[in-house]
Amino acid sequence: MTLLARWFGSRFAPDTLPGRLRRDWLAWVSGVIILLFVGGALFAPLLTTRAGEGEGEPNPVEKLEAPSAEHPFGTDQLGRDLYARVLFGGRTALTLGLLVVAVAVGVGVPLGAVAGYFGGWVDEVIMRLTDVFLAFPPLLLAIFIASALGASLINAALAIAFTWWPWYTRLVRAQVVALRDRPFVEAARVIGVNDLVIIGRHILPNTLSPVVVQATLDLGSAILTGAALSFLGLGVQPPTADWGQMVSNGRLYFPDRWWYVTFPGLAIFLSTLAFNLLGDSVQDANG
Amino acid sequence: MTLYILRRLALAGLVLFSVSALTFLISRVVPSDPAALFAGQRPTAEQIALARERLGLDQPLVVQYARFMGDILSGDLGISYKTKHAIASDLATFLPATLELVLVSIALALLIGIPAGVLAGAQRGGWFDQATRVLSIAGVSIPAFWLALILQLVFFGAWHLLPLSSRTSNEAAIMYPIQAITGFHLVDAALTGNWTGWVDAALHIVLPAFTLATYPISLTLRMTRAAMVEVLGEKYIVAARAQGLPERDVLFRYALKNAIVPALNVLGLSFAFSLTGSFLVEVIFSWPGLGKYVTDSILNADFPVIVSVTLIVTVFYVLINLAVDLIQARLDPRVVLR
Amino acid sequence: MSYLEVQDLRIAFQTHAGRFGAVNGIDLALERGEIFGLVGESGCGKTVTSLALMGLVPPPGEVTAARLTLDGIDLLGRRDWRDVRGRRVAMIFQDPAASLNPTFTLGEQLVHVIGHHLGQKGATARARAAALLVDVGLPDFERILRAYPHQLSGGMQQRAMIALALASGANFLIADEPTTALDVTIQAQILRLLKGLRDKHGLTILLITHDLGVVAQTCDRVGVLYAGTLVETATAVELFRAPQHPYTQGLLAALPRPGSRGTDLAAIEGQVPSGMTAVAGCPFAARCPQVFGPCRSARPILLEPVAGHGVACHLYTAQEAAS
Repeated sequence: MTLLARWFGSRFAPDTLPGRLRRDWLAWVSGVIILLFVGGALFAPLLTTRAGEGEGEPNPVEKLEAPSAEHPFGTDQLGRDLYARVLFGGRTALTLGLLVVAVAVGVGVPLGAVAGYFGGWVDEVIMRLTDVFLAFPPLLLAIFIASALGASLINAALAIAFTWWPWYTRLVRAQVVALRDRPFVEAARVIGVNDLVIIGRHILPNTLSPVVVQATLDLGSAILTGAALSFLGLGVQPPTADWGQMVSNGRLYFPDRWWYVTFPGLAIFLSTLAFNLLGDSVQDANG
Repeated sequence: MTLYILRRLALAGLVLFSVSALTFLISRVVPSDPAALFAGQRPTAEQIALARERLGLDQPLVVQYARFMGDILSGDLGISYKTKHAIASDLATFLPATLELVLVSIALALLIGIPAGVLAGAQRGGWFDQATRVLSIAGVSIPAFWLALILQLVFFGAWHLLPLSSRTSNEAAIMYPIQAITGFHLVDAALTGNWTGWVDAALHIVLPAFTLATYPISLTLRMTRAAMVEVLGEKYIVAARAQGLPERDVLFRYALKNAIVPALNVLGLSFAFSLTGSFLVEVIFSWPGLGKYVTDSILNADFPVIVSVTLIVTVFYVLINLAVDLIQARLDPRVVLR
Repeated sequence: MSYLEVQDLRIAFQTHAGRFGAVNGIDLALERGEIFGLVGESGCGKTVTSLALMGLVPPPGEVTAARLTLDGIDLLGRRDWRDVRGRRVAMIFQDPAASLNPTFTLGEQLVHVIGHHLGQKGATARARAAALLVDVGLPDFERILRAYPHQLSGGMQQRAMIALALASGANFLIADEPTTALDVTIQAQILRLLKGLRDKHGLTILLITHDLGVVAQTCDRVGVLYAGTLVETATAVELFRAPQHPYTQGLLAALPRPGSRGTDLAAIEGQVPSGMTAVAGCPFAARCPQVFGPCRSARPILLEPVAGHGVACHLYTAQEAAS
């Protein structure tokens, strides 16, 4: 967070030109949307009186009702309040995003560090492996793996992480190659510190900030990909709320019950958009 | 140049081999019971036993892989449990519809993304740059399946401008049937001079193609813009201006030819996104293509189809990337040196 | 009236850190057919001066002047530069490899410029392109026309760049550090070529350089720039024989001479003022070994204590006042 703050500090310096300020304004907006999204997911039970419906309890007397004061987003085919469902769907999306990023970082970062530090054939093997994974269209590979694993939230996250780790491997490898011959690493090596300790203690901490930033920004794309998988029926299973699944179900009542697809879809769109806008601003400020 | 092409071809061959091996491994090693997966939805014990035998699961992996590759290379992709057809023949039916859709969307991406990217880069920081920046980030953030529904709601539901779904209208299909030659409706209708059919097919492809193109348009636009900003800072651009060449020539001839080489990098990626995006979009537009075939297969747990489609589409993707690299080498003579 | 007349040229950049004066009021007058050298350290405003003559000062730069004419044509406040760039003024740059478009063959680039400016197409244009290449010392034109820039050596690239600059028929050539990126032997060839082109086609050349050696080899007259002001102007011979301004004297003392090998080169102490803060007195005052009273408070103006030899220095202001 301090790192982002530092970037933001430079972005919001008082002497920037109006054009830059406008861009920064967008970064602020995206930050607010992200906070709303994360807050909504964390405090979902407190933000609705219909937490039970959000978690999946049917309410057969209020099926497919249009938006009203009582149900701001309307209700679904089981009578559940869509506002509550969207809030709880945020929990699914956030869980999935965090899982994807955690697994991808967990696999990608050590491989990248090892490849960059040892070089030679180890590097060659690992990097060619990333090439092969990147040779697949990303969503297709995720669909394939999710089908092989069977539909569930964890499996969807694993499937997406499978297509994702090579990016972290490449990122970290580049960093490590740059760090490998720095004096403090040389010094550690000369006094006989174990290679793995050098990587863990001296090198990885120095590569952490770009990884953390990248991982945060990747949450948006992870959510979008997760929504696509669950739209195809490869994500979390009912009755747990999930945005992609809601759009998929709502499609059957479209366009008469337009609200059913509109609000969950909007949630996917806005949360992904916010992360991507933030990512663009950070990239802009860096480059 | 020849050396470069040979090296690039060898690399593609290696990637294709690895892709097939990885696909094979994932299909046999990842599932807890591959035979059950290959046997289709709710298989009987008999069907599982049959699948196990067919897959040769008791054999060492190397032998299994050899059989897997042998079957594929002889054109046998297995049997779909849903349609009971050979998957290869199913693909032959569904692929043209998808390819037509994908090619139209890629054409849209190039025709809109490149000029818009040039203008945005030329007026860096101007209103057009700002607007396209937000629009293109929105374009890569919007779920295609949702955008498809919204577009249907607007262009069919509210304005009645475009048809809701499918490749042709029923009337046109009966009165002006398009004779199948290439499988591409637009091409076939044009070849046979069936212009009523052509217009009908064109109207039907607008919404799905545009939905699929959203991501590639945005990607192409941003890449072209970034490349233009870089190229416009180069000395040869100052030199071209100093030579008194008109700004149009400087931007669209001198700068674009340099900028398009990095911008083309995303062409392969765009293609991948359009193809896999079609999995989501075709369902909504009832487009009788590969995507609909795949989504039906997911619903019916038709695993052999998913394996085959993964392999075939990835091979396509690798070949497209190879083609893009060769085009780049043709456009920028320096690529070969790198 | 001179061929090129520049009076009180000022170029400033408004940045978010403040206003940066890159050129702070310089006067120049070039006669037809002469080679005029503009000398100075990097950042003294040489290049941006030349860009101003073509309307190529990048935003947010603002150009003002009391007078700016080329061959009787007003260049000031001009929006449409089409009949100036290429047609009247041509420019070549320090780094020929970066100044030639890497994705077109030289033939394509030459034919395009010829087609645009002279309306010649096809075989006529190609014939002119070939003639130009021969003119700049590239008799092997058939190969050069088919070549991409990266396939040529640095010297050949700069020759090709000159051909491209002259392709549109300009009579005024701005050469911005044309030899800096080249080997010494190639450098001499290019300078000889420029002189030859002047003799053959009556070109007027503004040669921008930081290298007094280049000036000595090539130029008829010289202007010395320091921190965006012209501190001395004279014929090349006169400047080397009797430099007047302490800055010019310092530059000449810093030149390596036969016999000075192994000893340290004399260098001028201190730093050029940044241009961000307006200097009240002489911009060179902080580094000048002969600094005295008025230098820190009043800006010296360019005077001609000797006819044809201008110098902006209080040492001579005092002399003039006394005489």
